[in-house]
Amino acid sequence: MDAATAQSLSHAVWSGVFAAALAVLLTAPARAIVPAFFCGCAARALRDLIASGGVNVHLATLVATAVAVVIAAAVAPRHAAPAVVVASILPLGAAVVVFNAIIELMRVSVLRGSTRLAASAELTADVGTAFTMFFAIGVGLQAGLTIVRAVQRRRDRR
Amino acid sequence: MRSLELALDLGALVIENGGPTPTADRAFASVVDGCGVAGAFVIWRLDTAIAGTTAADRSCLVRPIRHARVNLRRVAEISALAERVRVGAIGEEALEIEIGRIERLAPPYDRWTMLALAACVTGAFSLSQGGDWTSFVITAGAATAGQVIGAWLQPQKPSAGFATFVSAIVSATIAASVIHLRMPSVPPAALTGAVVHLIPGLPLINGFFDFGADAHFAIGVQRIVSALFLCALLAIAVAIAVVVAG
Repeated sequence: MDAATAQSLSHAVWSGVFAAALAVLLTAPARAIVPAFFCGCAARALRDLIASGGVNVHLATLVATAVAVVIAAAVAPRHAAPAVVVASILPLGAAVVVFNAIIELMRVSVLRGSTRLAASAELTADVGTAFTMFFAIGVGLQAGLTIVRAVQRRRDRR
Repeated sequence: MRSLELALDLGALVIENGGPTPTADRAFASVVDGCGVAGAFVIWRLDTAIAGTTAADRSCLVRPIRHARVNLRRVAEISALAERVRVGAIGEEALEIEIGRIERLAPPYDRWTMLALAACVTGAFSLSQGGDWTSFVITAGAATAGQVIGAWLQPQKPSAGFATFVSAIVSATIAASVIHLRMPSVPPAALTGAVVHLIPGLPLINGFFDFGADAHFAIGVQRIVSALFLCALLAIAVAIAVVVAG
């Protein structure tokens, strides 16, 4: 196993631990903890796997979010599914990027001269990444939900 | 009208405890079906729930939605209770008693478990973002301090925004100060990790799900806006902590 794969696996496992602990923090029942761990693990591993194949990281995040919604709907108790989904998608990266963008926004307001120009360029890049990541997660959620609803409708018809 | 009131109470309890709007809808529909109320409708908002019937008198019931803490144990109990009402296994009087019992249900995990898990959540987050064990310790310690302050504020019944902001300031200032001492860690992962347990993820996800359903568009927008406001407060708290810690 090479170093990059080992690092990806480690990140996936820690994302799973994060998801399971956050599910408990959100008062999800005990039977939702294991699904939350696997959902968090799978979402992060899938995103890293797709991104390592050369696919755009935002597209990878979108697919991983949709898959997290589908897995959560399939394995988690119905009322706890949103808690499992949120616990699974938070490690996909949006939080760090959004916070970085806001910190840059506050920093750039007090800078002057060339440092301000450099910080502005950095801020623009951070805001762009944050927006695209947030948008990808939003679209991924809706895509996952559409799949879940379609499956439920099909099952109800039977 | 009493059945409609109980159905509205049960649905509103789902919203108050952080449950999804479709679950509130199902609880309401199950009770009105089970009690034989014809033509009932309900409109959910984040601050109010309105229910009525299309019967001749066209009167409506309005119930304020209180801001309770997330308690999915109550949501699970409500779903089970609503199903029992729908199949006729429980009557109106017993339903009222059961609603009172559910309102008094404590969260499934005690305060110490929640405190330990908040530390675990933040530490695991920093490791999942490429942080090292030092950032694990920094975030876990900072988050624990923030949680203790949050628990201390709780009896004062502060607004969600104020409680989140104060907890975030404490957690982020501790994390930023330790990072400033040039401890070997990954600063963004440690800083964000220190407040990640305060991110209002559940309202945000419920809002996104509601947003996609025409019937719940308004409550979806309200949930997303209020969650984004709390996220902005968290980010401002982190930014202030960075400035304070130099």
